[in-house]
Amino acid sequence: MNIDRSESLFLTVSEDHTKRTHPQYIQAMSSPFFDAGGRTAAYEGIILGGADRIFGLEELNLWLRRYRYADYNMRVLLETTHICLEYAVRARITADRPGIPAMAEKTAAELMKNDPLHWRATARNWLRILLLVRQFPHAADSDSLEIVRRFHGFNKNALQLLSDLVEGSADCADAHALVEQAVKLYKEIFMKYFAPDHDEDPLPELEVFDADEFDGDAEMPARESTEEEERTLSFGKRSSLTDSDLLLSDTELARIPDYIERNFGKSFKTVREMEDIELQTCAGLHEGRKLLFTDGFKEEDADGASVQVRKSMQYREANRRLLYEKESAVLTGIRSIEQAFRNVLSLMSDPETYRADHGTLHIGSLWKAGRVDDPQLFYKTVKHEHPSVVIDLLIDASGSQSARQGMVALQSYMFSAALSRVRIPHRVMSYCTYGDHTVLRRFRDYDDGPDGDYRILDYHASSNNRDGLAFAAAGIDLLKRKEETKIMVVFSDGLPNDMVSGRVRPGMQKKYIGNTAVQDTCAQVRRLRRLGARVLGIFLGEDAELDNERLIYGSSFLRIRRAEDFGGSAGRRLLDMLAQL
Amino acid sequence: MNKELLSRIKAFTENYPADPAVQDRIVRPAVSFIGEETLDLAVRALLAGENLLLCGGKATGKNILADNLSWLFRRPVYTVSFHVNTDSSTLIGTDTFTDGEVKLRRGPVTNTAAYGGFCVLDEINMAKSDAVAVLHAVLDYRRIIDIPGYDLIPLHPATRFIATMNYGYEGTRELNEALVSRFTVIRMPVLSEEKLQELLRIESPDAASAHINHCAALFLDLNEKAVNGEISTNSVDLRGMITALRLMTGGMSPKDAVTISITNKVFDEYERTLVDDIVMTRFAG
Repeated sequence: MNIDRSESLFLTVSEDHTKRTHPQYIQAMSSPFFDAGGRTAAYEGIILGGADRIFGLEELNLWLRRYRYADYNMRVLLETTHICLEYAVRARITADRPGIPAMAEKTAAELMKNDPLHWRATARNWLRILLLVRQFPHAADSDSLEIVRRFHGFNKNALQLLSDLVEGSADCADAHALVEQAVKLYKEIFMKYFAPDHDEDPLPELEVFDADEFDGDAEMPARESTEEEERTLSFGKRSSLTDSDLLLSDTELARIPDYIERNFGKSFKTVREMEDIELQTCAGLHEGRKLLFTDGFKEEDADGASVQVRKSMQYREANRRLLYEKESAVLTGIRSIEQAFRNVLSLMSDPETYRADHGTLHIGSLWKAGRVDDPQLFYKTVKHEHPSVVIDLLIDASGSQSARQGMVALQSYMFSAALSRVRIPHRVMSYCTYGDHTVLRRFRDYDDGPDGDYRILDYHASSNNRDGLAFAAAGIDLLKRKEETKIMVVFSDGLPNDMVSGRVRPGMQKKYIGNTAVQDTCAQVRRLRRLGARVLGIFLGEDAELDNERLIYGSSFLRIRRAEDFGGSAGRRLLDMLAQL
Repeated sequence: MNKELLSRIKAFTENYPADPAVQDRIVRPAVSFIGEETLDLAVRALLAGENLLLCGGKATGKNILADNLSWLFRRPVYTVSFHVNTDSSTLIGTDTFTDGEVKLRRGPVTNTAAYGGFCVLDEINMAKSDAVAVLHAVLDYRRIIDIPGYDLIPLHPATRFIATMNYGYEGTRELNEALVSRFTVIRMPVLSEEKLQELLRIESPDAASAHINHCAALFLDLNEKAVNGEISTNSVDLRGMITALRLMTGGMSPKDAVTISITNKVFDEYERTLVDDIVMTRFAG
């Protein structure tokens, strides 16, 4: 399974390990906390896990949805619900998990010190800081204490009511009661003492919209949102250049399949196969994404073809020119990698022989019998079965690699050519993401001859990269191989990044960047390892991304800066790493 | 256990008294197996002359059951832990030089056959093809071991093989069909929280109840994560949990005790974070 810290905690605390998407209002309520990352996101996983176990997330969502149609300000109601839910869950699960209060306190300290949710920016959210300081006085920083001091002139009864309502959440018997408690907090404090124009504050955008029709009780006022409201709720306010400008419109999305085919080539998998693969991989964070497995274009396609095809041909020519320029270094690198593999295979299959007091009789030592105390007349041989190995070589073909496109093509070519020389079946694919589609471009298949290696020079970099999805998709074929030792080698810059997500969906993370992307890739690597594949990273990026690479691949990564590196120390380190695999 | 079974076991032990030469291999297990139904199933199968394959997750008591069965039947125990270098000679034996002549030095399988013992084949799914070939022959209905250059060794009528294998986690190896067909298979039930607490209390009688309860709950949390493929099985370590409990009883802070006994056994940084998160929910400091 493919999980990050917050999801891991959510699954464990909820005591239900079925992977599932959070309902829309729950997601809208929690997404600012998840987006904040770090301890805040991890603790939010606990709260939702506890909420699911005690109240049921679907139930909570159902009750919240009713208030949407009763014309409540959902932004504020979701905030009050979160306050009540956090308190109730913490109070109710601490007996089972006594570490929760300590985690809550550390999270409170992070929220107050770093203010990742910008609570200090608005008077209404000062209430949240006030609650944090009251509940976790030791975690308060000077700025938060200053904010609390400003409440001295505030209505004392209201502050008492605030505390009573929050603490009363712990006694709520079910989801309905908890939402009712949140509604009281909404009416009696948040909306009563803070004017509606506080909604104009710079809070993180909440994505709230209904994909379906209202299905609540008849007494609820069923007021449908206008199209404009839906759009605003879905995508947040459009002021100046925002994240939403990076999203593709429906018209643009509709053009993508055609664009993908024109730019990357046709699929070599059948529709049925693709449905099967997408069913297995496009889940969770990758829900609704598409995959394309393609062999790219052939040289004859260049005649009269589109600009994009001609551009591909130009990249190919540039890579080939680089190969000729660095021919000597490339050949040395190939020999070095080849030798590394030969040595490892030889080490793995060499029988181990040692002298013993039992085993196969060693005639030449018989003279020792009766003459020495421990004659060791036998030898024992430990045979190692010849390991069968298959390798999947995945190359990051995202735009971040374009600056070193030629170098990446050469490194990959060297690696593949060396594997061909030692006759290890291997497949080479590049991956990148455009819109909804993650494209896996196959240069050579497992059982192709050495001619296939040359096609790697067709490599070029563009668009984004959803590493986790690409690894999962490539891993399906690799894990089906009959060879005992399955290795996935990834050439990347340690920067999984899909800025331009195809479509915003309710309950889903909208972008695949930063911590979310790194954690997804980490989890996917661990999943493949658990399923029996060895995953090795060849790092081609900058120093800043080195930590990501280390986190994703653990100790199984190797840094390469230049084509010549494989011929030197990197080749020797590769040997060490392969021997450990 | 019911009287009928106990009397059948008694009859079995009287029919096949253990050879005095191997009395030291008949050992009372340190821990009693918890799980009456499973024990009944296993005893009935052994009485019927069957070999057992115990499969299940970590800490389901596979080896404890094997030890308890050996003690109940008063059989000498020979244990083989399979690994990549376990070959036919490890199981059957090889030549050695004794008293001026080359003789067969028996391996655990041959000794089991000779003395009517119980041979525990631990982690049988890790057996390589060379070792599997021997097991096929030994577990065959003919009950004879044929060693080239030596006499045939018939299996003593009391001889039984009890194999164990981890199952239920992502990446565990399957057992080949022909080998499975030679066993009756018992799927070990996952220990309930109460039984786990009972086991921990036996292992660490002086431990505080709260510590026992939280250790048991943490173990089940981690096991559930491993079963669902969220983490590897490195941290699903009952021995480590018992150690942690003893350290806590000895005065170490619970968090530190669990960190050095469980969390630090996960060397992958990312996975260690996931495990540490779960530990933190159970232990405050």
